Amino acid sequence: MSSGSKLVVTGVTKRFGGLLALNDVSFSVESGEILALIGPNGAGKTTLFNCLTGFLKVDGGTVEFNGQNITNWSPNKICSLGVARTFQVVQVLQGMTVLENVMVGAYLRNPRTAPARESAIAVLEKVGMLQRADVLAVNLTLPEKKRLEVAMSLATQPKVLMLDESMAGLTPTEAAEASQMIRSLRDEGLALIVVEHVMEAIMPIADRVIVLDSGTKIAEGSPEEIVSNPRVISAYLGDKYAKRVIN
Amino acid sequence: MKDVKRTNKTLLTIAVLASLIVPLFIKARFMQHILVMVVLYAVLGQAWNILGGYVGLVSIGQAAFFGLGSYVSSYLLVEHGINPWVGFILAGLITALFGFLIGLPVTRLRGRYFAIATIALGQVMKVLFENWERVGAATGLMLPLVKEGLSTFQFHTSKLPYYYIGLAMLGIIILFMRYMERSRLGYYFKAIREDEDVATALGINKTAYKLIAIAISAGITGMCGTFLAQYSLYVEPEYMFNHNISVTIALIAVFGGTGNILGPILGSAILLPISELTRAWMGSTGTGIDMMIYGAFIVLICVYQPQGLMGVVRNIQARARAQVQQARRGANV
Repeated sequence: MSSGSKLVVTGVTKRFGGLLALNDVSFSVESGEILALIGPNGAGKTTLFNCLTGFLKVDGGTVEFNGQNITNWSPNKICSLGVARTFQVVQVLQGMTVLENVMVGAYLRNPRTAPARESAIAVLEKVGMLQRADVLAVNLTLPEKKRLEVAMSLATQPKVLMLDESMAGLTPTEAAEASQMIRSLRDEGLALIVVEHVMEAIMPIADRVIVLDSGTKIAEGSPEEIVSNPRVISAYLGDKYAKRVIN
Repeated sequence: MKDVKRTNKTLLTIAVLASLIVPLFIKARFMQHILVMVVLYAVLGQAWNILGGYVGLVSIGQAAFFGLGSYVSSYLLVEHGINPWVGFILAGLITALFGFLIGLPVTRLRGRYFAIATIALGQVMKVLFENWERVGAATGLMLPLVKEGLSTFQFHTSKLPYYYIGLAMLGIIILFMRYMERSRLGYYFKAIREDEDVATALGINKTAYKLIAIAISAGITGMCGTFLAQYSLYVEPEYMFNHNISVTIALIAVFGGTGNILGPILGSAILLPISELTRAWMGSTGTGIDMMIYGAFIVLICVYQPQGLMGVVRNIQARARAQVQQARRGANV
């Protein structure tokens, strides 16, 4: 369904007043690829997500999806084109059941209720939450909520899926399960952009990593290249430590 | 579960039959008046519920739509002799369009700011009509007294025909809402209420759906305006655009329980008789004691059951279900 999709980001710049939150950031991601987006607190990772998905207007640069310029489109239009996202602070529709949450996503491709319900059930089965279908979202545990958020996005049948810290706050076992799910989504041909703080969780599954620091892309490469990159180490741990590692 | 479903069905049948038959035995005009007001406000409460209960846009200015609707049909009848039923439909369409246009700027506001804007809207409309010579300004319009009958939408010997027309309106809106609850429209409405950002991230055009909601709500409210105009046979700004109407509508829906179909009906069926009866019995004492009793009742419900009357109903249902389960467990042992 999603073979050959490509999201290309060129020179995206975003200012909040005098603060340069994103400075000329460029990268691309394709079907069947996991792109990890890492960086210290305040590096601009979530801002970048918001710019790509239309929740914030960019001040410069372009976002193209399959050759179509989607810069500054409205978030719902971007979603219906096939670029979906989750939120850093988990956001689900609290007063609705798990199934209803996913159905809201599924209605995008299935205007009628019966097919939307079927499609939602299929997604719930895929993420292993079918037995929780009738529970109110507000009563879920944190890992379940995060899983539900992914399910809701998946129900819109995206070609590019952006996950904002979907592993933060999870135990190592839960994080491993989440990694497994992300990997299987890639194998189905999705393009994934994963923002993550937990390096141990993301490095083993990422195909490519880009590193943001103070709104600027400071490195891009395979996970192995990134962990030994002096600029990355100094951004995370300070110059002193970087020198010690390199020498 | 099956038992609960069957009980619900029986209760529903009883309620429908009672609402159809019992009024036939009520001869006192004042009691008939109360019945008419109950169904009218149940419909108004439902219209509010679509906007406030499902989409989460709390309106305290429904009188703007109500008054506009009453004036549309009355003006057409008085000035052009157009049948009130045509006016009834046109009132719905015009107030829906008006709601849509008002919604363009107003639905951008969230939460309490939306509520404040709707209060202002109600007041502005009232002042506007008070100064509009063409529609009679502050004196309003007197509807011509004609032969009673369904075709003229006027009944003089009994108030019951108004009751049945109102009941039909309520039936239609309940059917619509049952359809809505199970369709994409209802799901999208609720999603917007729960979290606008999530809704948008799932591809929902929140502005479009808010506009649909306000147009539906305004249209129904406008048709109710026509209904009251035909009932009282005159319209004036102080009566039709009264802020009390806006407050009562919101109160009924919240008091009954929002975001479901039964709530506003319960709210109207309990709150309006209390309001009318206390006014009739004690309103003339000049002490305002009727308003005190009415107010105390509302405060009590708010304190003990913040979810409204539907909260009470749900508690009873939950208790019944638990008892059934317990009985079954006992039987198994």
